[in-house]
Amino acid sequence: MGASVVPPKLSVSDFIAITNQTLEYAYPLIEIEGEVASFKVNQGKYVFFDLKDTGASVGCFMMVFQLRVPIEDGMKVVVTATPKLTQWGKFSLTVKSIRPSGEGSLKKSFELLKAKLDKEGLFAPERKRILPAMPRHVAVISSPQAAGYADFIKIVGDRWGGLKIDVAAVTVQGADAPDQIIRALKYFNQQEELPEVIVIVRGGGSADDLAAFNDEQLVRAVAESRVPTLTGIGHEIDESLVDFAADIRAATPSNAAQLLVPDRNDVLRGVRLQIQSVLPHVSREVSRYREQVAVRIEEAIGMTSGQIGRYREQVANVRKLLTQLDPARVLERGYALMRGKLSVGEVIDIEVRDAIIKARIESYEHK
Amino acid sequence: MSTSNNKLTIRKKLSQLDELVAWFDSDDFQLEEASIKLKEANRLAVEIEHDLEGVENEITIVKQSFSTDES
Repeated sequence: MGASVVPPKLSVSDFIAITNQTLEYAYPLIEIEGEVASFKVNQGKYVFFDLKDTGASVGCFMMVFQLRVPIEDGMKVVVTATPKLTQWGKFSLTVKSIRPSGEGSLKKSFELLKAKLDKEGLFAPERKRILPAMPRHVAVISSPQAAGYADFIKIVGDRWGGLKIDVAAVTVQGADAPDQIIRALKYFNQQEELPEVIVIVRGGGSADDLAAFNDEQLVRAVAESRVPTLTGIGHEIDESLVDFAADIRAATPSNAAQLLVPDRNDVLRGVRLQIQSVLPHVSREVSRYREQVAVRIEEAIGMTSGQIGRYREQVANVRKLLTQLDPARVLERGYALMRGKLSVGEVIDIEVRDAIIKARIESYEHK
Repeated sequence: MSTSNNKLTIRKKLSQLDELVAWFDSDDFQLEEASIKLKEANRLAVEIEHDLEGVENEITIVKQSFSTDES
C-alpha cells in the first residue's frame, strides 16, 4: 500500500486564486462560439449575457466600451475571453471582444448598427464632401501585402503621376483591424500637413473577413475624419458601414483608384482638344477681319470713284464756263472788240469776227 | 505634380489653360493678342504633357506601428 496523497488545504480565497491561475495558464485567451441569451446592460457600463449551445451555457461579462457591434438575444457570436471564477464562486467568461458569427447574425448586427448610425445622421448625404479632382497628397490605410492594395497602387500609377502617397500598414481583417485602422485615421488627421484624401483599401473576402468594417467605433472615426475619405472595400456587391460613413464609396480598390485620380490620357486628350478648339475660332476671326477689310476697301474704292466723278464734273463745268467766256466766241456771235484811247479824234482798232478795222472817234458822250 | 520649368502644379497649369482658352471666346478677344495667347496655350499644353508623362508616384510606408496605441 502506497503513501496516501495529502490533499492541499486551502482557504476559499486561495482556492479561487489558484483556480484562476490554473485557468489563466490553460486558457490565457480563448475563442468560444455560441448563441447569446439574457443579454443586458447594467448602469450603462456593464454587459452581461449567457453564451449557450444545445447542451450547455456559460455566463459572460464585459464592459460596454468593448461592445463594438450591436448584440441581441438569439445572435450567434464568437467571443474572445478569459475564463474566470469570481470571488462568489461563480464561473464566467470575461469577454475581451465579441463579434457576430454566421451570415444571419452578421446581417442582423449590420442592420441594427446601420439603423442606429443612420438615425444619428452619420450617413447623411449633406455630410459628404467632394474629393479634390487632382490630389497631390493622399493617405492610404491598407495592408501592403494584400492584393487589393496592389491593385489600387498599380491603377493609381497607371492613371496619374507625381502623387505623394503615405501608406499606413494595418491589418484589414480580424479583431485587431478596427483599432489599427482607427489609429491610422487618427494619425493622418493629426499630421501638420494633412493629406487631401484618406483612402481605405481592402480586397474581397467573406462576410466574416469584412466584418471589421462594420465596427461601430471605426464607422464613427471615418465619419469624424477631418480629411475627406474614400473607401474601396471588398467587391462590388459588398457593403460595409464604413462605406456608408465615407465621403465617397468606391465599389472595389481598383475603382477607388479610378475615383481618386483622373486618367492622364483623358487629361492629355482634353488639353489637345482645348488647343484644337481655339484654332477654328482664330481662323473664324481672321476671316471676319478679312471680310471687314474687303468691305472697307470696296467702300474706299466706291468713295474714290465718286470723288473722281465729282472732280470731273467740276472740271467740265469750268471748261464750259471758260468756253463761254472766250472772246472769240463773243466775236462769233457778232460783237466787236475795241482797242485804243476813247477820245474824240483818236484812232481805235475795232476787231470783229473776221477783220480788224481802224476807225476815228467823231463823238464820245457819256450815257 | 510640378513642372520641369517652374513650381506650378498641373492643376494650376490646367486652370491657366482653361482661362486662356476661355479668352478666345470672351469679349476681350483681340486678334492682335491671339497669336501670343495661342503660343502661351501651346507652351502650357506641352508642359502639361511633359509633366503627365514623366512623373512617378512617391509611395512612403509610414514608420509608425498601428498595432498598439502609441499616441
